[in-house]
Amino acid sequence: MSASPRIGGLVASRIAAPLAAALLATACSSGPAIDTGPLGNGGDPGGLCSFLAPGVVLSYGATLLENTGQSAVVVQKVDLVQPRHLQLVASYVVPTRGNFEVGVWDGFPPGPQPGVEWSQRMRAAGARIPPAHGTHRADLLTVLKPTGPVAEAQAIDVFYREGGQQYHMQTHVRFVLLVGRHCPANWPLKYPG
Amino acid sequence: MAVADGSADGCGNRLVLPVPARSPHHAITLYGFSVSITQRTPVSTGDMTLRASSQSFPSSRQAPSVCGPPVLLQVYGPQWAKVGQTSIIITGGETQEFTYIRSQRSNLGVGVAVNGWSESGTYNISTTDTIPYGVFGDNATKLYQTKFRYALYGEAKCPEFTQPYDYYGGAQILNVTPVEAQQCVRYAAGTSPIFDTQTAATFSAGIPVPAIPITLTAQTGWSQDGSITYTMGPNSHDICGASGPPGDNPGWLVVGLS
Repeated sequence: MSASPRIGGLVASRIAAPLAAALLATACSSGPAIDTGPLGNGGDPGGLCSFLAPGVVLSYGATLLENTGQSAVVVQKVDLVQPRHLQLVASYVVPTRGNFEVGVWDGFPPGPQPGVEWSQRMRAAGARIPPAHGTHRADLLTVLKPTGPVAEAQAIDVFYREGGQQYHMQTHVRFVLLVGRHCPANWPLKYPG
Repeated sequence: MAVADGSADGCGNRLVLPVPARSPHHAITLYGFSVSITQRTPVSTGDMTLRASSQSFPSSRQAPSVCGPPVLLQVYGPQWAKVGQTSIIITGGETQEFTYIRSQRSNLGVGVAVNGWSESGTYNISTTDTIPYGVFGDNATKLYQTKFRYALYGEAKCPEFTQPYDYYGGAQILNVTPVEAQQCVRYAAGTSPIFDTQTAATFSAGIPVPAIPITLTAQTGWSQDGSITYTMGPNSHDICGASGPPGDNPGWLVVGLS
């Protein structure tokens, strides 16, 4: 369980490089600039490896959607960036209160939890997110289904509109979902994307 | 905020990026790319002026424009600086790991001798070693340290000041008390999240300068070259941030609700 001297740097570069390539490719297109809108910058960079039993999905609800704009945001589309053996089964916008987010679950979301207004969830496409007030915010919940023993995606794209403007938020968390095997200690090196 | 020149964005466009006015030289990260930024000219901030930094001499601190050129007076012995902290406050088979990477940037405090020593700003210094501190188990809070050297500088017509001189190296791990963290996200059993937080929390008493004596702040941006890794055991648990949720400027990260 010991790390090699270069693990951290390689981990970081192998997380960052595909993201950077995707970002540059998008930045050079005619689409909206990434991570400049009222939903913020897509959060901090990082990664997630998850062990899953065969046939089980992963529910990922750790993407904060805090609308800092003056009017409601309308989500148009949520998609995976460079998926490999990974399907986006569903995506929801879930209102939250306080310091809570939906969280990361193996299987489908469990339903009501403290601070999570599960009954108010909306399909992400078309969901309206009002400007954040107090501790009222929203969380993006994506349900990810592996279609192979090693399933990967580089990030999550969120396309949305606010105040007549088109925006594009991209998260900075890379996914590696392993079916029937546990995540090794240095998983970004073994699964560099 | 001052506006500084950046570099091309890969599409042939020139990036114009805001940078804090108080620091004359920056190396920032944009989407995984390092961009070195230097302010065009010295920038006035009230009655203070920032000088452009040079390769041979660190001069990040703010100083009156009437100051003479800084002169190195003394290099102090190496001191341990706090560069990272991980914490698991439950018992359930989880693991924690912190890796401090070559070229990782640390913001260390600058001390100025005005009516005694006090802190005034920070100096950004890069390391030259990679330190894998290893993997630790649950029910522990680990503080990770490495050494830097400070130096004393003098300037004509201005107070003496001390700021980081160079990176010295070494690794030390201490057991400490966990911080309070209550902005939590549940992570399923068997998940292994990595957090490359852009800006970590600041250690208010991060590095001592015994010769003065003064203890200055230390902040490590884990940036793209460093990371915290937690691995969940057979059960799911919360990972909690102190100043924000784990994926969005958490400051400190703790496994288990405190």
